[in-house]
Amino acid sequence: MNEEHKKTARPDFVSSAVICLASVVIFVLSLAMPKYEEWGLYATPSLAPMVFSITLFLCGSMMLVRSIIAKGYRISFSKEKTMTFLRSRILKHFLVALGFVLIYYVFFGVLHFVLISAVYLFLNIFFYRSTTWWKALILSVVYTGTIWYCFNYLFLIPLP
Amino acid sequence: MGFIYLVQEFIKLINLADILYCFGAVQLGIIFGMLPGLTATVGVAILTALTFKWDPGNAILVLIGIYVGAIYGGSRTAILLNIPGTPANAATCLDGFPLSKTGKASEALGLATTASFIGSMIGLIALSFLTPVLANAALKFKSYEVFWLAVFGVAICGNLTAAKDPIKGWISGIIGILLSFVGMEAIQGYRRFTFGVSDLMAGFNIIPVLVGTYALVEILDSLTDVKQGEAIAQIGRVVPRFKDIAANWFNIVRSGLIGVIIGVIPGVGENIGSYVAYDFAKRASKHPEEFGKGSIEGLIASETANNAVVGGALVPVLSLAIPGSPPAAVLLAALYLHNVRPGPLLMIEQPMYIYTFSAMFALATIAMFVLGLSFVKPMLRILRLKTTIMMPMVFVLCMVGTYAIAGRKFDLLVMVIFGIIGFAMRKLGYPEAPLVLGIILGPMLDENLRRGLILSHGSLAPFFGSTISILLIIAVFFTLFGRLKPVKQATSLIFWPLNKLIALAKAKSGRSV
Repeated sequence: MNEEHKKTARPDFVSSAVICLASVVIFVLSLAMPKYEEWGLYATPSLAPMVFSITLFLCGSMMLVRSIIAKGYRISFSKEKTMTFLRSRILKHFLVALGFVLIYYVFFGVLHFVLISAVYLFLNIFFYRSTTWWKALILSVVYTGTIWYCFNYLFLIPLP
Repeated sequence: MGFIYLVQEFIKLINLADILYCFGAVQLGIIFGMLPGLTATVGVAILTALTFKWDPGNAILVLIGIYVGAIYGGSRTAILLNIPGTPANAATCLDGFPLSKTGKASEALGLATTASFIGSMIGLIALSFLTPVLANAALKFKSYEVFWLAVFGVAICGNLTAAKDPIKGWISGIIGILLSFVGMEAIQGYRRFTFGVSDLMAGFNIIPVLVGTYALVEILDSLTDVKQGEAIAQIGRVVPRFKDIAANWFNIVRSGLIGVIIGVIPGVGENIGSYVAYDFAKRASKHPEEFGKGSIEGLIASETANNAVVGGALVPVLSLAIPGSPPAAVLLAALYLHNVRPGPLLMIEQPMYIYTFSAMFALATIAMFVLGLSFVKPMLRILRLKTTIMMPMVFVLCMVGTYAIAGRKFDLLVMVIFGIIGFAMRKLGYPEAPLVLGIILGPMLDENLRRGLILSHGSLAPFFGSTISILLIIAVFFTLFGRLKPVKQATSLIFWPLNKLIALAKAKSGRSV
C-alpha cells in the first residue's frame, strides 16, 4: 500500500462511495431510456452512458476497496476536532468567498450590473481588510462602472 | 511550400492593428501569467468570453497572444518570488529562485525569456509542419479509430495529470464523459439526463464549464488560503549573454522536442512538459548536483519545454480537434465559437488556416520575446496588487464574460456549479484537466461508438480491424495497465533482446573509452 494512499484513505473512502452510488444512479437512468429497436439495440442512446457508468463504477470500486484496506472507513467525529474545523480560518474564508459568489449570482440580472458588482467587490475587499473602506468603495464603483461602460458602448454587449 | 505559406500569412499580419492587438494581448498574458492564481487557462477562458463578438481573426490572435504570454509570464514570479505564476512554471522555481537569491535574478529572467522564445519557435515549427501531416493522416480515420483515439486521449490525460494516483485521473475523465452526455444526442435526437430543464437541451456550454473549472476554482482557492506577499529582488539588465545560450544548444533542442511531444499528447500540457524536460536535463547533465541549487541548464530546460508545449498542444487542436493542454481546450472552444471547424476536414475546407494560425503564433512569440526583455521593472509593480483585491475583480470579469456569450443566467449557474465541483475535486486530489477533456471528447466517443456499430450492424470486429485501431488499443492498454507488475515483466521479456543489445553496445563503448 502506497503511503500517499494511506494519507488520503478517509476522503477517498467517502468520495469513492459517492462515485459508486452516482454511477449506479446513472446506469439506472440509462436503463430507462428508449431503445429505438428499429436502429438496432447497439444504436440506443443509453449505450455510451451505460458503458461509462459501468467503467466509473469499476474505478470507484477499486478506490473504495483500496481505501477500505487502508482503514479509510474509520471516520471519527470528536467534538474537539469538529469545533477546531468549524472555527478554522480556511473554512471561514471559503464559506465567505462562496457566499459572496452565490449572492452575486442570485442578484445578477435582478439588480443593475454596476450596483451588484460594486457591492460584491466592496464586500470582498472590506472582508479581507485589503484596504480602507473608502478606497474599496471608490475602487469597486470605478472598476465595475468602467466594465459596464466598455461592454455597453465599446463591445456593444448589453449587461443587465 | 508550407514555409512559403507561413511567410505569406505572416506578412499579412504585419499591420499596425494586428501588431497592436498581438502585443497588447501578449502583455496582458504576461500579466496573467505573473499573477499567482491566474493561469493561462483562466486568461484564455476569460478572454474567449470577452472577445467572442470580435472579428474572428483579431479574437483568435488575441487568444493565442494571451496563451503564449501567460505561459512565459509565470516564469517571472517563479524566479523572483519562488511562486510559479502558472503551474507550467513550477519546475522553473527549482533553479530560477536559487539563481535570484544569489543575485542573478536579471540573468535568470533573460535566460528564461530567451529559452521561452526558442521553445516557442520549436513549437511553431511543429505547429506549421506537423499539423498538415497529422491532419492528412487523420483523414483516413473512420469512426472506429476516432473512438479509440478519444479513449486514448482521456486515459493518458488521466494518467499524466494524476501521476501519483492515475485512477483519480481516469475517474475525473469518465465523469467528464458522462457530463458530456447531458442534452440532445446527435443520432436519434433523444434528450438525455435533462430532467425537463430546457436550458440543458443543448448540453453544457464549454466556456462556462471551463471558466468555472479553472477560474472560479482558482479564485476560491486563493481567497480561502490567503498568502502574504514577499519582497522582490532588484532587477538590472535582463538581456542574456550569447555564450550561455550557445553552451546549452543541445539542452534547448532536446527540451523543445520533449515539449512538443508532451504537447501533442491530448490534455497533458505545459505543467508536465516542463518537469519531464527538467528531469531529462538533469540526467544528461555533467553537473546534476547543481540542479535545484541554481542550475542554468535546469532553468533553460523547463522554460524551453513549457513554451514548446504550447505549439505542440495546438497541433492536435487543428488536426484532430483534440486539445493538447487545458488552455488549448479553451482555444478549441473559441475556434468553434468563431465558426472555424478544427479537425481533419480543416485541411479540405480551409487549407490555409493552419498557416494563418501559425503566423499568429509566430507574431505572438516575437511579441513575447520583445516584451519579455523590456518593461520588466514597471510590470513587476503589478505584483504588489493584493490577491484579495485582484481575485474578486477577476471574478467580475468571469461573470461578465460567461454572461456575454448567450445572455443567459443559466450559464452563470453552470459556471458556479462547476467551480464548486472543481474546488471539491481539487481538494480531494482529482485533476480538473481530464474532466474538461472528457466533456470535449465525450460526444465524439458516443457518436463514433454508435455510428461504428450501426455501420458494422452491431459487430465489434471493425473496432479491432485496422492497424491504427490496434496501435491505439495497445497505447490504451499500456496507459491503463503499464504500471502493473505482470505487464512490466511481460514487456521486459518482449524487449529482452533489444535491452541486451543496448547493454552490450554500452559495455563496448565503455571499453573503447
